[in-house]
Amino acid sequence: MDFETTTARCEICGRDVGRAADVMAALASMPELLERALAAARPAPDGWGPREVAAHLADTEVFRGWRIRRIVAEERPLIDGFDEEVWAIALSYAERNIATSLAAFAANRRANLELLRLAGDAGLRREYRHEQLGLLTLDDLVRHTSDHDLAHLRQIRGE
Amino acid sequence: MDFPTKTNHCPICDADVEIPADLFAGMGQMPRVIARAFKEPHAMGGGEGWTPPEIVAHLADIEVGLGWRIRQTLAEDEPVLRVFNQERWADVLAYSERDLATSLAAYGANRQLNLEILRRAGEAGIRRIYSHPEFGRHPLRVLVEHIADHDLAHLHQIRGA
Repeated sequence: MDFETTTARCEICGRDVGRAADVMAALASMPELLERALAAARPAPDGWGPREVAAHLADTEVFRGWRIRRIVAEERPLIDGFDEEVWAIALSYAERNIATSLAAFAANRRANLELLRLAGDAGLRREYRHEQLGLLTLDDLVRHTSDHDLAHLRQIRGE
Repeated sequence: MDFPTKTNHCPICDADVEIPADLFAGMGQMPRVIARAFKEPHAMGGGEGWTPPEIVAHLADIEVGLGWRIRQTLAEDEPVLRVFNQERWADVLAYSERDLATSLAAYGANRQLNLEILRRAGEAGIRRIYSHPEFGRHPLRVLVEHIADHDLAHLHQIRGA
């Protein structure tokens, strides 16, 4: 792996996951790592191929940006969920341009990290409401994001 | 203007507004036009209201909101959109401290991605209906045209036009 990882219990997934030891540094480095991994990836015989994974990463980073802004700006907002399988079909993941997806993923990641830095520790402690999981913090969402990156990086690399 | 425009009635603003004659082509050019506008001789340099970096932070954040709303409307049946307060966003999301280049890059990349999704969704996609707690039920096209008008209003603001 490109950085040190540990096993941790994800508050959102409710299971043990691989987690970067330095979450913020991993979040910043992931667009480049994922772009390199996707360039070397072969189309999957089943499940998502590189094009679909890139579209998924781009869309989830938009969705995280929307959540970060609401959590920082509102008092314990109820956060909308989405069905990633429905998105994959309705938002044409199989046809989406990989370069456009990766550019948006990287640009949104930089903007989201800037928002998190400016929000500081007090921002990370802000809470939001999840329909199934109850009260969570922005920090839970940030760590889950890093776990999600890492899971897809390993998936793409076949690890 | 950098591309042909036309007058359009916006049901959200309930006013006649200016939008690109070729909606998607004009919207695709707008991040570059905005970036160039700051370098023009009469571009605003601050004073009353938002400064240029604050305007671009606003455009970048609005584009994220648009992206989420486009995706919801295409993937769900008549979703009820969340409302947000742009003045509060400007305050708590630190528009005065945001990096201009980061905001411009995010605005541009999200705009290209949103337009790709809209193009792939086609006419059937932009006819899909969403519901807004304040402005009611509209097809997605109304929201997209509203953002195109919003872009142009801020471009004119930057140029002092």
